Amino acid sequence: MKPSELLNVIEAEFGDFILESSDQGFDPYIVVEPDALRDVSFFLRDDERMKFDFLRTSLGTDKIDFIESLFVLYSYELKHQLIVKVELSHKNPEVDTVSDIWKAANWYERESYDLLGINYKDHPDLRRLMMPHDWVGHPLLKDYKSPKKYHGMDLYRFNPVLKVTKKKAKKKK
Amino acid sequence: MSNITEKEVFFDEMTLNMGPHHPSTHGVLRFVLKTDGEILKTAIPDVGFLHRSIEKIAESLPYPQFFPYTDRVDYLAAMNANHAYAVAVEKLLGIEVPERAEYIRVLVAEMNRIASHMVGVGSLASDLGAFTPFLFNLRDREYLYDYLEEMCGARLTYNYLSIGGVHRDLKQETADKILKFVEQGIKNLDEFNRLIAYNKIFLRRLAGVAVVNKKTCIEYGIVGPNLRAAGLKYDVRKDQPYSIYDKLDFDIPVGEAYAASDGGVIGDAYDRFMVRIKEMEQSYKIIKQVLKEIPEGEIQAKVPRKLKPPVGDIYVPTESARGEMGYYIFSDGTDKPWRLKIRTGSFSAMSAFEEISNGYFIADLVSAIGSFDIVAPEVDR
Amino acid sequence: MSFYHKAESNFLVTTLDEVLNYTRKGSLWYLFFGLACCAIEMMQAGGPRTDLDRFGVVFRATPRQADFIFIAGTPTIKMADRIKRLWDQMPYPKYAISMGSCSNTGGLFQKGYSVLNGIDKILPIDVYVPGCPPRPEALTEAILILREKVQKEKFLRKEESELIEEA
Ligand code: SF4
Repeated sequence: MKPSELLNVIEAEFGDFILESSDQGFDPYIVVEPDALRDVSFFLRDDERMKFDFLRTSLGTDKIDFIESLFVLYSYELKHQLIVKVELSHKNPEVDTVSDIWKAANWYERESYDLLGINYKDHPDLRRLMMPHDWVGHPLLKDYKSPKKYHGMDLYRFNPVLKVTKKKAKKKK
Repeated sequence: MSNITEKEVFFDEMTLNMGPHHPSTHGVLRFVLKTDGEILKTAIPDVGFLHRSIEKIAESLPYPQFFPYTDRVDYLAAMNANHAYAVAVEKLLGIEVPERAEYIRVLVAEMNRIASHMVGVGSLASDLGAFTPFLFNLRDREYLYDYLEEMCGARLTYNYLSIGGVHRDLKQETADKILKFVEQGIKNLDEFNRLIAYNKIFLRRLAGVAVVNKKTCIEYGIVGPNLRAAGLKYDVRKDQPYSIYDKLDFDIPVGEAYAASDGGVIGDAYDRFMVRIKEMEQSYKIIKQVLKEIPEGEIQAKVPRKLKPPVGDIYVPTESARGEMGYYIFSDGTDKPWRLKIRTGSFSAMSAFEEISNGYFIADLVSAIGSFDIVAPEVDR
Repeated sequence: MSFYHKAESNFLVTTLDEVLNYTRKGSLWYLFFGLACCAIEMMQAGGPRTDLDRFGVVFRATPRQADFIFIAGTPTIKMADRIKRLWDQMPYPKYAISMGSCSNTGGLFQKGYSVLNGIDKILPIDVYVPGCPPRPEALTEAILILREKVQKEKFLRKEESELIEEA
């Protein structure tokens, strides 16, 4: 199906829950109301015209005003692609899990939880994936500051080259 | 063993730790095994031991400067990772790559795919106790490394591709050497097969083990040779062609129960092994074609000094040695990406382990891990 | 070793230390422990072209049988505790070779939030091999240097407590 038709079908089905949709960029995408994510996902997976059976990837982004979580979907059978985005507030980044709809989402959601602190409700096993379990903070947030020490290990290393270049830069100014 | 009752499990369940330092976990992967005697109930993977914050570093670097890091995402097939990034950024910027550069890119990518599969199949054999075939493959890899080194000056981490082309031209003498090696390489592959592929013990260790069917593959997003071994004929090079792959003639091998005589089924470990071997043959075929058809001309498109792509986001899939590799890039109009995410094949394969590991012997876990050909930094990044 | 060769009675004079060290340096076994990209070059170094076996350098899968360890790759903070534990499990006398700029200083990933910048923060290193990754030839050189170091050691004349302090 062509991107524009695809978006038309989805908009006809869900109307108000689709906050934004476009096929002008590189890939067609829709922005979904967080509460409707599960319904839309079920539709995208199961409907005859959609058949998005392959979750290519999923990621979160810190966009300063809000946190975005997105899912790149592809259909092996119909060979079309769609990106589904949800926008979450910084204070309470919470959205329903889709890990039972596409099993691949399980680890992607864990990763997003780990690195960005997005809380996927009803996820079966929401633990940190990459960082140690006693790590504090979510590193991919833009205002993240890495700690100086961890488990008694000093993480800072003196870099003479960096110091020299910094001095030079200061002199130039 | 799904028919164990709850109570028996309660009495017999045992927890074992495997890794992160274990010779057959291919880098630093850790599994927590829940076993019932010798039979696995589940293997829970624990990853992140090689999480090197590549995605965060990308946010502080201009686009061209990120190339060295892509090498380190998948160090066995660094050229493919380079290629994936280059394709994504070029599409974002709308740059046309000269034809000769495209041919060189495909050439090096396929050479690297062969080198990567050599480690994949070789280390599977060595994990199962046959060390000699691995050494044979290491020998052949040295030649591939030599040619790649002649082209770009490094053995493992190349940083060869640039945005809009490649850094150095392919010399005729190198091309001749590669062509010569291809003949030898096909013979060596035969030798390797004679050594191990039809070995009875090897067959028995792999046939019917760690079967992953098509449905599970799609659900978990397992890609690449692992997906094709399960019988789905999907290859990004054919289905969503990038670069010049649509001009080349090659087949996509799929799993078809190669070890049927020993009780193998479609999608078992032996199929995954065999699909890789067959893919190497195809890659040799591609290299021959590329070297025959490579045109003369420019190797670098005209690219502005400071790259400032338009605002937007993009995802471009490519086929790396371990399956679909794609870079998701958010651009905010400056010369640095706002966010960059790398989609890799090993990550999906690893995420499926918890489910597919149910029911085999502990010793079979080794062949399962080996047959999926997982590299740690692809999982962790 | 100094050889005093007399035609009628074949004998040699040397110190016990030197004989011991001579035998020790001829069979340095390493712990097969790859962390990242450098591990591939380590594997390649054990392969047919730069055969490490000719120095008696053979890989062992367990730390208890190893004489030295290659820190081949990027030590991340999640891994650091485990590396330390592996190191502690190795019997004395033991050596460590830091391979690649990642384990020397953090290398490319120095800016990263999850990387331990330099393995020498948690264990003592005998030989540093620069490069990203170092070539197998560089690795061979590192082993030659380590062999020299082993040969020079006054191993028997140390108290055990001293040894532990040193390590
Ligand atoms: S030094 Fe270079 S090659 Fe070695 S582990 Fe670090 S990044 Fe990889």
